[in-house]
Amino acid sequence: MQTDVVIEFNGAKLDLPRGTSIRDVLAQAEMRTRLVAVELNGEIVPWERFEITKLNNGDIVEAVTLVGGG
Amino acid sequence: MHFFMHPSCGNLPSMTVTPELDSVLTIGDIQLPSRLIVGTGRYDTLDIMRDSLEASGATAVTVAVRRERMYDRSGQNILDYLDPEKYILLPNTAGCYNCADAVRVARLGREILRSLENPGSNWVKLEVLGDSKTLLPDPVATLDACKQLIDDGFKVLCYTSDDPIMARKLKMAGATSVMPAGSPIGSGQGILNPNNLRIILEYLKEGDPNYPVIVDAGVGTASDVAIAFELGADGVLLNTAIAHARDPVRMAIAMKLAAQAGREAFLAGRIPKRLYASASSPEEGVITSRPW
Repeated sequence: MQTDVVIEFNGAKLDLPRGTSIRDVLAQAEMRTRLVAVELNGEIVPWERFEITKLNNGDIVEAVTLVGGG
Repeated sequence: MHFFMHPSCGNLPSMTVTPELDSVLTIGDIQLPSRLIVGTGRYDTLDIMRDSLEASGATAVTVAVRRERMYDRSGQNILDYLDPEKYILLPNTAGCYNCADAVRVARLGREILRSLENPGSNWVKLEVLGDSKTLLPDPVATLDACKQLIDDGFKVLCYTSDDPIMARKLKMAGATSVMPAGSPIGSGQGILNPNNLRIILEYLKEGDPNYPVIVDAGVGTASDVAIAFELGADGVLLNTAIAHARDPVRMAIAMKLAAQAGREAFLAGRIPKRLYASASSPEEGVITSRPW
């Protein structure tokens, strides 16, 4: 598999094959898609679009979930 | 087993007045059977958290939005321990020190709740802090963020200090509930300025008696909860006082009982405090003498 897309995922650089989707990245990080919210370059991507949203070089992805808090 | 019964006790008048049951806590269009809202942070384990939440009787619980600690050491996510059928999740903006961050985190929290189909999904507990040592709110940024989030369709439950003027400004801006701190977050100092809380309650409920005022932060033990309700608060939000008690589940029970006791006492109406005593037994018919 050719590595030709470099993104930043939750603050870390990630090398990915071209055509990788948000859903693929979440699966790779073992995150359950319904438990996270994702920002792509500062814009929220609805979970319904995780599969069709492909990542490009330089994209910044944040995936957050809920944790204990007061 | 034999009970002694006085002859006259056979015909005791029965209780003729049954007090009306307390109403539920209504926040915007959501009704909560319990007046306690509890946090989910700082528990030693998720099992203790789950049991404590259950014991507290709360049906709304706060959660934070983070990328760190996606899963605990055993690979569990907190959502595995929070049945969305049972709890309304109230995401907070804890850890935000400016308006832009608070708005961003609130939107992310709403997005997670949308995918979970949780009914609280337009709710946010807004907190915009000014200082990491005191965790006191930044009032200017809080008001800005409150306005922006309301414009974006949020129902804002707004953490603030116990300043009555600020509380009034937040209500006027459209906050669904104003949530004054009793004392700094996690400090366990209880309600430091009950007079400010009295003024907040007077201002915010003037002509709008059902407007929900929730004491958020500072609770150390059960009596603090009772006092908040006795003063007239509609709800209390607390976390550390349960999570860091020696026995969290037992403390959760205490908080539940204190909430009920304080609320009932408020509805019942306390007697005024007075300097001198007032005898409970009649003066008429006394057969004893008085020294003075």
